[in-house]
Amino acid sequence: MISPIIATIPLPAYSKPLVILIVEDDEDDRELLQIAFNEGNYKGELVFANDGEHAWQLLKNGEVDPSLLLLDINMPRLNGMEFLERIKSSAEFKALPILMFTTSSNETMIRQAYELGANSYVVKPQNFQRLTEIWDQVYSYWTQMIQLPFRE
Amino acid sequence: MADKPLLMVVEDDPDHRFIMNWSYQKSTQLCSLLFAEDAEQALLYLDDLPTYPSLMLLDYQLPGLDGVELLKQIRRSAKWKYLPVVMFSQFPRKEIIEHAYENGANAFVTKPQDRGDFLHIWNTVFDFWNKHSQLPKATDDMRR
Repeated sequence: MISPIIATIPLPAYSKPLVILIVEDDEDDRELLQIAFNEGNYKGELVFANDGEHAWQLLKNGEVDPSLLLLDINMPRLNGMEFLERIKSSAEFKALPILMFTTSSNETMIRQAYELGANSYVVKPQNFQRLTEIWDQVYSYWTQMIQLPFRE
Repeated sequence: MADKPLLMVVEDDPDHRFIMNWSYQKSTQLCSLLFAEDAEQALLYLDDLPTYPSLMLLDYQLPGLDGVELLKQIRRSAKWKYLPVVMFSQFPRKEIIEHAYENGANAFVTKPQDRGDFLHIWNTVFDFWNKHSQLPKATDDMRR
């Protein structure tokens, strides 16, 4: 297990707990992300949505109040690009940071995601060891180095 | 050199430009680095560069046209709207942070006063976007 950067850098003193919404249709991927999160003893909570439509309903109904969202692209019902466009066109949610987290590294797709307002684009690795490493980098960077909105 | 992604830094403080450049020189130099001293110069560069940048680091407080105004112009432009923009400020109040994200900032970083912290943060920001995040690459229609 890798040693997370959070061991040496204290989290900012936010009163609102960190919630990361992960929109991922693959059950195995959801489980692996939760295992990587648990193994690293990270602060905060992961909430999962099975597709874009599910995530949209959770947000609209106020069932989840995330500070960060990880988004797969290929999903049934509402796919990642459609969800991204909906979120970034919404006055209510447009400031929510969205990290594309997908196996595709297609350059046209990367550019399109940024044009639609994605905050970052990270390629999801296929092997678990690499997943834990990427997760550590993503988590540490976005929760330690970056000032997220909607946190008090 | 031509194939390296271009990182544009818009920073009016000469000391901070110096530290960033110093840090860049010590790094593996995965990208090319270009400084603009204010928003107006950044806009001139954007119009004139032979290759479009892949990332912009943008100071929130700038003389003349401020950082968010430059960000709004970038997001309104069909040509530039793809450009990831990391904003930074020494005064990260909640309102400022939300204002930046609402207007299309990709991320917001606090600019520290201390030189050592500045170097650490700069390296971390630099590493994340270069090594772990996919940046948009200049396609043929983006080269002139």
